[in-house]
Amino acid sequence: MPAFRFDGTGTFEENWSALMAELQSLDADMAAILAANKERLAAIVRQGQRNTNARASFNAEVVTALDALLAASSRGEGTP
Amino acid sequence: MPRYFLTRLRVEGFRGINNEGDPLDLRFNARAVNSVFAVNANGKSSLFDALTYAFRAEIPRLSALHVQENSDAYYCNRFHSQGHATIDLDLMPDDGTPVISIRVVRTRQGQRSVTSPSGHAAPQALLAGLAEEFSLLDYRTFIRFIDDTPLNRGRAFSSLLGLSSYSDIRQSFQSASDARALNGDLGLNVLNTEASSTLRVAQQTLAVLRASYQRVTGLALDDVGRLDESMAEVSAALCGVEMLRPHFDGRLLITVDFEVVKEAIRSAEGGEQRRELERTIEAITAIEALGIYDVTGSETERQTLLTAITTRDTRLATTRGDLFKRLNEAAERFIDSGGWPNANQCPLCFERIAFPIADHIRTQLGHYREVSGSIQDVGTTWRSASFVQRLATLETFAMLDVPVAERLSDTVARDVGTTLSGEGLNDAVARLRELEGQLAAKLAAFRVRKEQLDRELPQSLVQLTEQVEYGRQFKESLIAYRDGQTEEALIRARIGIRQRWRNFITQATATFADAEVELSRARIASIDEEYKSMFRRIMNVTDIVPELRRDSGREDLHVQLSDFHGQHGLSAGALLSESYRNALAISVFLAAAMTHTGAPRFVVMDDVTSSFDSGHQFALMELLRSQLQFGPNRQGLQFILLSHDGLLEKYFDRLDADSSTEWKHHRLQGASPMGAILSQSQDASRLKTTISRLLSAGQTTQAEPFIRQYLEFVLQQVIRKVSIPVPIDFAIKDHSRMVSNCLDAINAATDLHKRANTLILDASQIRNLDTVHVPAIVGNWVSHYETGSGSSLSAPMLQGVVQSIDDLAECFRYEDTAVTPVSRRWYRSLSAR
Repeated sequence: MPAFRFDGTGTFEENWSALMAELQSLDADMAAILAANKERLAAIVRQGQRNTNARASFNAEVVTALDALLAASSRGEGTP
Repeated sequence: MPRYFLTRLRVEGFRGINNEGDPLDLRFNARAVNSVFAVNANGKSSLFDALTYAFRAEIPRLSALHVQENSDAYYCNRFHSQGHATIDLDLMPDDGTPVISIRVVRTRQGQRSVTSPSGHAAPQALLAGLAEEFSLLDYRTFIRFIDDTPLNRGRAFSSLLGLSSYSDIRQSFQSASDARALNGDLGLNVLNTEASSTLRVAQQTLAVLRASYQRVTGLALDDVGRLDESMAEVSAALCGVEMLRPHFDGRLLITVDFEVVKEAIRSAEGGEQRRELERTIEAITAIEALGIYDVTGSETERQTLLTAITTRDTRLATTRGDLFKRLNEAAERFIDSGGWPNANQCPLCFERIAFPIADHIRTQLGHYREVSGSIQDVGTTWRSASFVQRLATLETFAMLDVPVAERLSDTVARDVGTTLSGEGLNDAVARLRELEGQLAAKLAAFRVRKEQLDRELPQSLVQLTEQVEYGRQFKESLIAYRDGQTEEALIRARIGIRQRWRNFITQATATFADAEVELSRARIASIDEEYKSMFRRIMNVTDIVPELRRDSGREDLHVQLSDFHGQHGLSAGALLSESYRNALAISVFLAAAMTHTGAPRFVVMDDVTSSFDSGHQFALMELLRSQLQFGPNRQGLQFILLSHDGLLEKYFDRLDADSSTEWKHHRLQGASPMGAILSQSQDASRLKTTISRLLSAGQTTQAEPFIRQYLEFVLQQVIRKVSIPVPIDFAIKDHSRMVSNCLDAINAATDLHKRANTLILDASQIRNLDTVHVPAIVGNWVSHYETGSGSSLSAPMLQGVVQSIDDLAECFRYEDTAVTPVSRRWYRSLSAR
């Protein structure tokens, strides 16, 4: 399988969408959580400045989403 | 999709631009290079900030201020009476469709609104689309390009290539997938400890389950996978006792209330001894339920903990406390920011050192990270140790009656990673041995007492009581075992899904990073010829050839010289002067910008030329004008240059005046931040109207800064129009004395021409200039306001000053009767019409 590559003529948003499609094939549930928290991920480093609180906030949202996915699967609503 | 040129910018009440009721108004030509000059503190950076805010809804350098500095309070001009800011932009699509007007307003409270007077449906989205790296370039972004470390350069370079969004997200991914941070943020350490603890409890419960099953049925419980059948067998065994049958026959063991069964036995055969037997058996089963713990087995765990404590203390000894940690962190930020160019010199004591200071700082901070890891190791090892769990169990076991304040498992657990010592560890092991001894003694005493009661009570009653108690124990153990299994499964599932995320985010990080590196390499390759060609043209050299090289799989970017006067593979940072370095940076940026196809078709550059010498500035301007600007180049961009360089301004001015060149120049002057800033192309009559309005209302103090502006504006207009020479330091003299500086220059030039008998002014103009207007301005303005020695003048007197300056300007104009109708024109110079 060829390695994923960004399109040099595309915008960042277009390439982000392509990455999400690639990651869907890796793990659709996890890719959905990542896509839903894109802005929180982007807040971790802005203009080269790292923000530790933003990282903790991102991971806290991920944990909430993971537990929700787990709860849904235990009710037979998901496929983790 | 069209791309957009910026054709007009109007600003009021934003940053250093007050311009209350009279916005600073700049019109840009899409087909020409546009330049804007202002001396420092005259609104140039405020224009850049206004565009930044319009596109990005923030000014990053304000956002980066410490929270106590309340950056929100500095967007709007602090002297604007309404306190809100208005930014109007005209954007011209390159597909020939009508110009789009967008208005951005920010209130004093920080609320932002975006509207489109021309009726665009989504003005905010349009502005957001313009927030690309190529639309705005400031001095700071590219000045760090060469001098940074390869890593920071790679990150800064991504901005020059238009890839900073990718660089930021790549770093965000790396931070989010950091193993140590993930273990903490996802709670994996805690969950693993909980899983170990739950497993241990389950094993203990299972042991009790097996023992009680065997005591009731006389059989071994071999298969824990068939507990429902085992429960039925226990029920059947108890049902075999005649007296117990009504309580168990036809019922699930799990639903039987054993207290009711015991009460029935009490009612059938009363007696204190029987009740004591019941309590004794309860006590024995409670102790047995704790299971047997081999204290000698804890020695391995104790040794492991002792090693972790020793490692932590050894590592701690390599550090020097929190203050030094903060010092090193601050130093790392300082070095990384590019503020210290001398790699082998200490920035505190300036002593030369044999190794790079950055390596030393990284080593020091590495020690602190190792200590942090060791503290975590001690804590995790303590919490997961079975003897610690056992100690906690025994200290809270009611029969051992350990006071809360004396429970080591509680007191040691507080900050255990930091505070646990070898002595504390040994105390805990000793306490466990002591409690195990007490527990064993109690169990032995209860067993002795039970044997006594067995002998004293009828055998049938003893066995009956035992059977019921073991039956109850089986039931409760069964419930506890199943609850434990459910809890363990939940914890395992939580760990599993978190590990799944960890695997995912790690792979996602690698996928993104690989793709980003390849994108960057491809973009470098695509502009390779172009930036080298631009560099050659700007610097006019052929035997210095720069080469950018991005490491595979890394963010590091190396800048080398593939050719340096015939030598190869040398360091650009070590050999290139500042002017060359900046030429390389701007070449890379322009080459990348020209290949970009995003929404903005304009580039605003703030002071990027100030470090070039004049020859190279000229080469750069010519490159922009003749090759890169839309117009001469059909695929080109619109360039808007902001500069405070006085020499460069002369060049801009000349290009603007030359009708054969496509160049539009604005010169800003005014009284930032309190008064108004005007472009020379703006009509000064609006300023005069403001003055009249204020003076008519008697507001002389408010009118004074505008009058000063007006005087400076008119006098500089005279100087420019009739080409009056000014001293070389004219622009850098005390700005508060600009009016007298201008008058001095005008007087000196007219005097010179009078002595040479070449002055073109007519006699009345010369007389009025010398005896009326200049004395009036000096007497009524300069002596009062520039010296600061005079008191405020009345409104009529100030109105007279304004009239005097208009009259003075008229002394340098004449009626041109050669045209119809007759036109009033400026003299071409002091000696010619």
